[in-house]
Amino acid sequence: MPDGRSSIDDIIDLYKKEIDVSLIKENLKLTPDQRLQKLQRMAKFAGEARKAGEAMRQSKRSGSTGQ
Amino acid sequence: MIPFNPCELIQKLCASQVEFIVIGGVAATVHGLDKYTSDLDVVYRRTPVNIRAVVEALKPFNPYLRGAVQGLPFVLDEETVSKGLNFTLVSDLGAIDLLADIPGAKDYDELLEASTMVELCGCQVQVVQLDKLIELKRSAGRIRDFEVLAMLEKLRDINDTGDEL
Repeated sequence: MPDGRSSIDDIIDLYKKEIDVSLIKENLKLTPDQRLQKLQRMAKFAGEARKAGEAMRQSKRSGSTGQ
Repeated sequence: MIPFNPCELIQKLCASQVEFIVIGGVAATVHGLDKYTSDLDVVYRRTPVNIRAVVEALKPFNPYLRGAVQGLPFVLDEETVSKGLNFTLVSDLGAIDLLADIPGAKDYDELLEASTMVELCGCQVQVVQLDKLIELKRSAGRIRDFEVLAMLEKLRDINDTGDEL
């Protein structure tokens, strides 16, 4: 590979094409602490979403979805 | 499902005066990456005093080997940490990886030189710098890191061009 690049660099470049830079730019407007607080909120939401998903699957298994 | 509470984990480590450096997904978040992570990866200094501090910080939160079958006689105590190196744990505050030896970093001091003090959750915390974080991810050589690596390199490009706002 020329200029010290490896095939891994080529793979990473492919991924780069799909990145929504606007999300990164929005995040950069926050302080580091605000970014971590945002992650904490995301973690809380992910926990709630998982619980809701489990409840939904449980409901389907017990046949009480009204379908 | 155990909730992930990165702030409280960090606060507990700080309260026990643990010497640690945040790496991984939380470090990426701190640098500006918009990607969810569900564990806190920290590199800790391997001294008896610090190992004691790690145990003091985490033991009250029932640390256990992540992904292991229940009922193993695992205890996070000084002897266990002293005789081990890297621990992938789950706790009442969420998942935490306690790491001492990672690809891309020679030792704690080398990583410390490539870290920056950041205020997080009311604590002063060492967070690995973006360039080093990229180096660590590359050294890990995991396929699942390719997307994150691309995002981190984009982030670095934005920072380098001063185009962040």
